[in-house]
Amino acid sequence: MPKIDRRDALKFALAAPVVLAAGRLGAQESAGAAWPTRPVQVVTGFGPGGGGDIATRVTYQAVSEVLKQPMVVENRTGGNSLVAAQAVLSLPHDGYAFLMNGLQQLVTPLLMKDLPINFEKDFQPVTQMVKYPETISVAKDSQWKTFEELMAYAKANPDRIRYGTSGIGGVPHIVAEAIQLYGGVKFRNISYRVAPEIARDVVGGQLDLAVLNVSTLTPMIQADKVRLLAVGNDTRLEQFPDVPTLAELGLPKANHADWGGIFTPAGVSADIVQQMQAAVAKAAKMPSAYDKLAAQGTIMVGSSTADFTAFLANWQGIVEEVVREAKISL
Amino acid sequence: MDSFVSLFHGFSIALQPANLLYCLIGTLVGTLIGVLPGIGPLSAIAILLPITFYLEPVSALIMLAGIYYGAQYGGSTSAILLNLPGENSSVVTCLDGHQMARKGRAGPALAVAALASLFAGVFATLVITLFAPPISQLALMFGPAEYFSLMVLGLIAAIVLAHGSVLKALGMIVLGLLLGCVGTDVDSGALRMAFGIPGLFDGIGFIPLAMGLFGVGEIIRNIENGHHQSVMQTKVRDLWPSREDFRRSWPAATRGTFIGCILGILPGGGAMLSSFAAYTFEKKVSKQPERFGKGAVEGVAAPEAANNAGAQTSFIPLLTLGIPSNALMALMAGALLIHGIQPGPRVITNNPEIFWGLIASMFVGNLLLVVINLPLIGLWTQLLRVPYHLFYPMILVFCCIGVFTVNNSVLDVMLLMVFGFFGYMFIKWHCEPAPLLLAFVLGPLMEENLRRAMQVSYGDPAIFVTRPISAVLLAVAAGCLVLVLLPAFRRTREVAFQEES
Amino acid sequence: MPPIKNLNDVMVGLVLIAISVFALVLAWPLKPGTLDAMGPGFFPRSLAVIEIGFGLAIIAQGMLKEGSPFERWFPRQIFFVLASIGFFAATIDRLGSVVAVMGTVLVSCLARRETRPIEAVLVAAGMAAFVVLVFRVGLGLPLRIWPWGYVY
Repeated sequence: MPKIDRRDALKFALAAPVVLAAGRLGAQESAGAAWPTRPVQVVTGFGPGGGGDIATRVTYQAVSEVLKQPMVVENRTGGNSLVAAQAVLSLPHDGYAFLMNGLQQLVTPLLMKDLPINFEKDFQPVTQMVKYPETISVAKDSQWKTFEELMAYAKANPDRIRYGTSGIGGVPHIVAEAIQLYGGVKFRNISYRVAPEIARDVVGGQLDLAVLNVSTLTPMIQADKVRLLAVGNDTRLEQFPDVPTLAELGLPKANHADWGGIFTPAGVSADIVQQMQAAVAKAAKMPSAYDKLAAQGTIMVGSSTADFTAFLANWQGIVEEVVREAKISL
Repeated sequence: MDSFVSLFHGFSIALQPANLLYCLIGTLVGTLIGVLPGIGPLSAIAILLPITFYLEPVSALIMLAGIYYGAQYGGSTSAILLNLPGENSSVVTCLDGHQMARKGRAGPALAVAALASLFAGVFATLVITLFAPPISQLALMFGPAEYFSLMVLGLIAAIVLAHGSVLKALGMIVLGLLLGCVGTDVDSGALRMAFGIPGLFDGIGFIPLAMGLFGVGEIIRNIENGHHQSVMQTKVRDLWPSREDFRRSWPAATRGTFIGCILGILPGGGAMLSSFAAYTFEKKVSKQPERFGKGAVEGVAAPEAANNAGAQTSFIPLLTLGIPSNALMALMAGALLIHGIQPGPRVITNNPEIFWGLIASMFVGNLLLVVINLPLIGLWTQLLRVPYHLFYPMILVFCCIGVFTVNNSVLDVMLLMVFGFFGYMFIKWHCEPAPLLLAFVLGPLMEENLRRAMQVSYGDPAIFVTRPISAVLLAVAAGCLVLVLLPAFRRTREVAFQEES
Repeated sequence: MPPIKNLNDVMVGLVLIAISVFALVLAWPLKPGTLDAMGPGFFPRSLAVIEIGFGLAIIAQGMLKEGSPFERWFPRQIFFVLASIGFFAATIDRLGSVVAVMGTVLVSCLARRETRPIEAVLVAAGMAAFVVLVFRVGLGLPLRIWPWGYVY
């Protein structure tokens, strides 16, 4: 088999424009290491061009330099990441296929019945790749100047404040539900297909409130069309030192940042998992990658597999509680 | 005249040898991808996105943009020659373009498509130069109510596309809307009519539907008996449009360009709506609407111009507001983000070389496209000389591989088979698939925006008439409906009277 | 029962009604919701009902109004063209593009009795080579070429 591997890898390197980039690296055979000897596939359920996709591509560009093999990022959108997860599981479980996913990894099984796969048993975590702080914002000309004013109005007028979310069970949605749940208010949820439309409609006055990843909101902040009321992150953001976190505002249980992580099918050797984790961690320290993502507010992480596993367990508790208490269902 | 100074600066960037080369590569790849049915600019750009890591941001954007409008351009080639709409904007081109080809006028059809696109491209570039920031505000004025009304107008316009029975066109429209419902409901996340098949969670793909209804159905029809075999072998009469063709196409292309420029700015469905709208408008203003659908040259010039103009103005919301107007623009945003440039209002001030370099490159790219494509017309028409009994297996392979490569989905190929059968059935029973396709694309947008509008207005339907833009759009839609139904109604009455007497 | 004047329209009407009844059954479990919070069932249900109405109207039109004559169907052509697409769907993933493309061409050629086998084989081989060169080598799409080996 190795003969075929190399021949195919070579053909690919010669042929595909995808690896024009990697072609430079392809020349240097990975010295000694048994893995990876051919291109590695990273499948993501996030659509091309979105925050999750860009983060994956930038990260894996750097990873391909670390591992000296092309990393092929493939988008398989649909079914709350189910399509991407299934695509990864259908490939051989030999350490050449990885899944990049976010909170959907935990929420999809909670919300969708009769899944053909078991996210928890079929996958093992590798590393947290990135985090994206959340923002709570209103239009520049909005009547609410602070988060407290907004909440006071919401308490007096249930179901009047309209907010947009894209993606049921994504972190922005969970944060918004948690604000309502623990803040004792009720907003009106309006669903969107893609996040930038929410930013557009908040500025256009169709919506009162937006809960969005900071990267989606950046253009509107730059255009000075929105006012940030709060952020969801452990600390205040460097770019906005005056904006408090949700924890400071008395809602620690709603104070979350969005994240994206790497998974691989169960059964892939611990050695490969460890090498991939180390490669992502190393990539996260490369300024060429880190600065690019930081420019749009995305922070590269590369946590250890043990930390990521604990992080997921913590999130499991959070979403189970919110989904149960807020009665989110499909 | 600051804009022109900046544009001049843009040209100095776009005409650098390296950028000129990337522009050429982009337009060539785009043309190739557009001609091959199935794989569209979206997948091509997704594939090429990683390469842009190694290019200057402006070169990357110039190349990707070249692929985009190059593909719009190439798409018309396969629509005209093979009746295969590679992407949604070339559905309309099939209607009259393919009829022209069947009459041996593939050359003029291709040439008119090329020249109309060039005209539209150049004009749209000027529009962007002069008015980009002010007209970007239009995108902000469109909320859920306005989008819903726009979609209603689009669907009413779809009736005009059909030249048979109005009733059957309505039936096809509703069928298209129903097919558009398949998949995950955006609002609740519930699965609708998806049979539990994950491949259908995101809905039925446009490519298998369009290629099945148009391409496959037509193939079966063409080979079913000896008489049809000579269909494509009518002598290729002329390569270049006649004086008459020019006379008819210029005004059509001009009107199409205007429509395209405006609709291109609106996020979602803009490019497709623009080609449909331009076609409908031509058919309405024409003194001989009966020529449409039978090879009217205006029916090629107007939608081609509209679609190319729309492709270019759709960059405006991205570059001025940071709002991608469609999936393709989202990829362009990705290409910028990869280089650490945030698309949005600061692009013009912080990265003028990107903004103006890109715009100037559109100008250059459109010229390159015509230079590339005019000589190819001879080659394409030669292709039609291949005996049809050997040609149709090739078209089938292109359909299959094209459909498969969009998502690497076997399910999509099976859907192609199913819709191919429907396509044949509709041809046999004289139903036209174009309104179905338009409804299929607009349906989900219409539903989403209807529901969103009702939520935003706390359940008050008055939102559709109290918001001025929405009210105007609905009034126009009502006017169109009256225009369409009146003659049909009169005819039915005449028939009824005749029967009585 | 009046004589059917336009069988085409009657058939279209029947098919549309059949499809909408099917859609109605599928959409039945979905919640219709209220006006200010429409559920997932609202749109499909209303559409299906409207479509049944249009179907009936089209049948009525076919009963009353003269139209173009009903055309004969050609089972052999329909079968082999659709089967060639089915062959492609069945083989592209497991057996790769060479097998799938050649098979598609050969099966579709059966649709026409007069095509000579040698022509069909030549076209099949040519198309297989073309597809591999353009889509795999040129555009770098993840297509399997042979039944063995990895895609990447």
